[in-house]
Amino acid sequence: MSFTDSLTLIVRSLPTLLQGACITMALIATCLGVGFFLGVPLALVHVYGASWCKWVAAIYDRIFRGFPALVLLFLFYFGLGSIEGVSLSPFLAVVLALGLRSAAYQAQIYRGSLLAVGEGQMAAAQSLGMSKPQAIWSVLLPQALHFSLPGLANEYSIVLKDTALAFAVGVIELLSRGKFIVARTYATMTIYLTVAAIYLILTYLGVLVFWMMERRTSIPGLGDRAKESRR
Amino acid sequence: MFIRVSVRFGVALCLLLTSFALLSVAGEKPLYVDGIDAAFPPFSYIDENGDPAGFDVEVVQWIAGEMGFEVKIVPIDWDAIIPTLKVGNIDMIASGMTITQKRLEQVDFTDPYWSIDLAVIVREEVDEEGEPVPQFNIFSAVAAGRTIGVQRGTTSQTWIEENLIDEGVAVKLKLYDSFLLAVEDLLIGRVDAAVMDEPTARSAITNRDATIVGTISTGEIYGYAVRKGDEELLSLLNDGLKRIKASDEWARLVEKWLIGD
Amino acid sequence: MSFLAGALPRLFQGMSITLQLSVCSIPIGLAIGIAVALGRSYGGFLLSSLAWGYQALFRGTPLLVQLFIIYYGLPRFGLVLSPFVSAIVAFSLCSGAYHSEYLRGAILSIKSGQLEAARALGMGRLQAILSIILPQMLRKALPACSNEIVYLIKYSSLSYLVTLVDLTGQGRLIAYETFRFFEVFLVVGLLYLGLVTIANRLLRSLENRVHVPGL
Repeated sequence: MSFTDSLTLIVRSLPTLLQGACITMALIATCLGVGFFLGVPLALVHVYGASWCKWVAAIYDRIFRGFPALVLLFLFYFGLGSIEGVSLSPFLAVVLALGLRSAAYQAQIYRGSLLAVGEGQMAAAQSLGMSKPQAIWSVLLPQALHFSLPGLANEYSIVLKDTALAFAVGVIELLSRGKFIVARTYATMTIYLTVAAIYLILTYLGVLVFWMMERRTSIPGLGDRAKESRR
Repeated sequence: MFIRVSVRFGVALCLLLTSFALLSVAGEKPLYVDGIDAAFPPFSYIDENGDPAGFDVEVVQWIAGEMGFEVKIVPIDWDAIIPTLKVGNIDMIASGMTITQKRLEQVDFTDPYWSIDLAVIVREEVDEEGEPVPQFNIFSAVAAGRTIGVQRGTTSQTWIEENLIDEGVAVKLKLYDSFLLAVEDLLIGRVDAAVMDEPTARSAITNRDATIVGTISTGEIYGYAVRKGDEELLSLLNDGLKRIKASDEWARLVEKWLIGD
Repeated sequence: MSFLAGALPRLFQGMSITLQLSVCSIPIGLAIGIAVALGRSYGGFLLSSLAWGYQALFRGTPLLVQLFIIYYGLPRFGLVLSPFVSAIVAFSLCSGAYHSEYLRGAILSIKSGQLEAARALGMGRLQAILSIILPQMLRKALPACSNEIVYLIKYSSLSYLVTLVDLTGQGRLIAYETFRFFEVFLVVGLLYLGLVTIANRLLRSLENRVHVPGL
């Protein structure tokens, strides 16, 4: 295939590939969302929970970080779906599988950040009369979330790449679109390289967003800004 | 900042739920979802605009128009297509699916609408006079020691397993997501032969250095699959098939997709 | 449950492929990671730019796409690799990129004074890097690199897409034949969990053995 032919193919494929990219972004937003709303409570349980709670959280952690993403996808889509009365669309199956998995990983991130914020702050807050939940909500969590941002950026890029697996359960995202075009045109390298380039752009755009969030929410006197304030 | 993040993800969740709601809004006519193999020309594939195309796609669309229902065609990974049907994410499979005993245990089929054999494809090499010549003949292509590529979850896979491997012929079987990928690997040289439904074989070798060296007469028949007990859709499809076969449209579609090159 | 008896031998067959893939890819990935981390930290402009490019490429694109490009794309340029080798190349390159980032972070945390002191004692640059920086870098990055090694064992499940019948591949075949999806994939998942747990234990004991008290 000549170079100009390849370029023409890329340009003509872009609309359908970008449609796939939209589905990919929708997947990633919902998976990260599920991961966030479940991950924060999980992290709190890991750090502050009663022992039996921690035990349950540990089992959750073991399963969702120990099973490969692909196996989780199959389990949710085919396994859950084959139970009478349960109707799971492919999209929902992916969101559940990858989202619950991301929750386990995000819980580890927030756990690390909560511990990094320091026991001293919890003690100080309590000595000011705050209850433990109050201290967590107003003092520890906001700081911990800021520290979590680099880890979250990493998690974003990992989940983004895991969405490529969604085609195995029938979600027509970016990679699936690429495969259809390859099946029709046999232009393997051209299309897959284009798909890879789109993933690259999506990854680094997202990482950029997280980086900006980190700068906007940085706490003066803490972390990187600490060096500036000492000058 | 926590609020901002929560709101952002809350919005994403709402968008998701809304789009689900919109997608599941039923129109005037009943909507059935048809699952297809996206890489199975000439029966079903995805064209350059990203739309489904192929013989079975056009037949089902005609039947839908004639029998008064809406049909939505979605590509599904082939070896997951029957579970997907059973789970309810699709309502029918119209994609060059062979009626087999094993499949009949899981799904119901319409009346047969087409019959095919399996074809064996090998690479073409160029001899001294510059003429293309097949690398193997039909017998050496499936002899002991050969590596054969097929699509996972197809009658080709079953045929080779039952008639060669189980009978003691030591061929190596390689399983692919689609027949077209098997042909791709054939041209690369990782497999010696690829076996698939004959119409697809003819489509797969167009403009490529491969050729059909023979066919395996299995006399397979294609039918459309629905969930077990889905009488309503089954009779709609059977009636539709009767009507289209009696019309000029059938001859036109067969001519367009299934006859000739 | 009797179908399990028939399924387990095949699953173990698949698991042996998974183990072979992991055992081959882990050291190669680590070696690539070390080379790239050193190249990025101590190489000249060209070397560190190449290293940066490699990291960006292999961390920014899905492993699946990399696998397809290596398996179906490279033959266009005359490079035909067997499924097994393709998988190992893809897994090593991908995990190498992640290893190199963790190792680079470890290098950054080593005070530059150490290198200067080594040079002052008359060591050549290469010698100093190999004997002073390298051991510390490996020790500091071990937790993160262990994580990546475990990731690799799980990501090897992608190899079923390039005709390798590993644990996941066998699981899928069995599930499709028997239609017992939930049971099959639960068992497959638990087998991976077993592998992962063993790997974690081994790596954890390695961490303990190289741990320097007070550092």
